[in-house]
Amino acid sequence: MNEFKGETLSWKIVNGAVEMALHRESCNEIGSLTLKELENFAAFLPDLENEAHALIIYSTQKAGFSAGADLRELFQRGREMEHSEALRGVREFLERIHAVMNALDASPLTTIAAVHGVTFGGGFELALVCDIIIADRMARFCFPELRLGLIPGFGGIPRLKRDLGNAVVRDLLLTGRSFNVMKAQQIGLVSQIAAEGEALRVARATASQVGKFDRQTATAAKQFVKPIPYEELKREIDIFCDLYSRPAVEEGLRKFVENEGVQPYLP
Amino acid sequence: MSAPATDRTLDEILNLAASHFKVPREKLTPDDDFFKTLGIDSLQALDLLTRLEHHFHIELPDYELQGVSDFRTLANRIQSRL
Repeated sequence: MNEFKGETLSWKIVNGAVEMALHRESCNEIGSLTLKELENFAAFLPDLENEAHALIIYSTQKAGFSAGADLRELFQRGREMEHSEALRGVREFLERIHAVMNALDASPLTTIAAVHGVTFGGGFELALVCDIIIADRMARFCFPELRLGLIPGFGGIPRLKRDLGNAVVRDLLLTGRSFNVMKAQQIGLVSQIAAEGEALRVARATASQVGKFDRQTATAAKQFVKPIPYEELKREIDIFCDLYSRPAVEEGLRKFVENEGVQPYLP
Repeated sequence: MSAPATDRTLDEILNLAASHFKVPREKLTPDDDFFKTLGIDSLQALDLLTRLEHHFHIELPDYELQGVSDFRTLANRIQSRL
């Protein structure tokens, strides 16, 4: 299969690069349906790796790349189930999305996140899986999870630690603040900045460039410089689930979900 | 005599907001609630924050905007980072 059109994402091969478009309203919130379609993609990945040299992930949504996990779904499911059942569901969701993220992280393809606008939480974690982040000038990054009494759960902390200095990681994590693309480039997160609306074009040019090189060499180079912190990723799931067990989290989620004001995305 | 720094900052903020959100400049005043006057939500406020950071070449953590909804206070926050 060289093409897939789903409800939350679609992908096809263009000029030797797999292009995955995220297109769930309103800002690619990652819930159970997105997870299912990401798993579907991961299942096809070995075949795609034989036909392409790069993967570009981008969003067609105006607001941004992704606002992160679908907190409304998380809250709703928590309310409908006994706590122990909800906790099992959360762990299962995290283990499944970690499997997808790890598959993307380990893929021999050169992976590029072309991001714009809101790149928050789980959306930020999806970008962090990629080898290269190319950001639109208006991109904004954030790990807001501590505002809810949680930590990032899709592999964000180990991957942020892999790429950035620990002092910066502490600032971003412990303040939950958002930061712009200039800061992102300054701390070494973003390697290329594109003009407004140009991230996908720049990503395509970059994918074309990496396609000039021998794939076995590119894969060896990637594996050498980008180790996957499997043990820390497992620990992250455990810590997330421990924190999720507390009543404060349900309250934090309720506050976000029931917020009808204009400021739910401000701290 | 040139205007005080905060007045200049305020003026630049109002100009940028009017231009980007396509609101007549004369309709914006320093004490307006920018959420209401511009008709924006928190995601659009973050977009405005990013544009202001680029314009003034500063970094303004969004927690400094907690509870801030008028242009004058916003200008003061930006001024403290210049």
